[in-house]
Amino acid sequence: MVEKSDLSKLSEYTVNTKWLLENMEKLRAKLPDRYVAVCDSGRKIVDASTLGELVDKLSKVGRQPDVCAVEFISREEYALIV
Amino acid sequence: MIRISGFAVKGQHCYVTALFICDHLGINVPLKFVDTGNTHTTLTETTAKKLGIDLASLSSEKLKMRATGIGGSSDLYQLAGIRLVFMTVDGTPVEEKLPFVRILKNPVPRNNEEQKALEAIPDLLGLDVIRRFNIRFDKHMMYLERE
Repeated sequence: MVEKSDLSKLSEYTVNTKWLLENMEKLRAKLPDRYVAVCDSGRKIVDASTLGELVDKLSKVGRQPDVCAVEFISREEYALIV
Repeated sequence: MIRISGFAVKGQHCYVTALFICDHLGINVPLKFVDTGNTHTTLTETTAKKLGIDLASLSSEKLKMRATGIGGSSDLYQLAGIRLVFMTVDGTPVEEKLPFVRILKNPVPRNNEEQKALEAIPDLLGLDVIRRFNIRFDKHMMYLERE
């Protein structure tokens, strides 16, 4: 059984993830080698040097890490061979 | 018709999101997966740590086989009793049960650059899920479909 709140969580996470992937190059230029959280459909961006610090910052601005798209934005772009 | 939408960002892989649920560990979080031809759905150790999964507690589930790919090889673990919940284009949940997912242990990085590269490895949606659907690509979209 999946709760309605879980589905909204998935929905919000999906929008944030899509925004992050579509704007990866802008983020790489602006925030290289930083952990980044995209919240509120890209209207709120939080960054930090470690994952722990990022989670703390998200908590301080009242955002749930679960629904934000969190990614380490490397300075260099990697081609993934998977 | 069940239709789950993924998305393909130009120049990148195809991604799909799902709730990753492991009832016995109390995990219920959304994750993004890259669609691959990998046999099994696989999480990275980086994701496992974010979810609070301790690989040491899975030591009995350490596989004899190792993972290999470009860049070297690594230990594999498995985590049993997983549910992935996708959302269809009309907002209906679709639950897929998996007997287990694999977790890829990060090799010890030799330097800072390797550490950064490890962070870029995505979680993989494997054929254990994909084979349950027909996969269809549109311009910037990818669909998992079945009747």
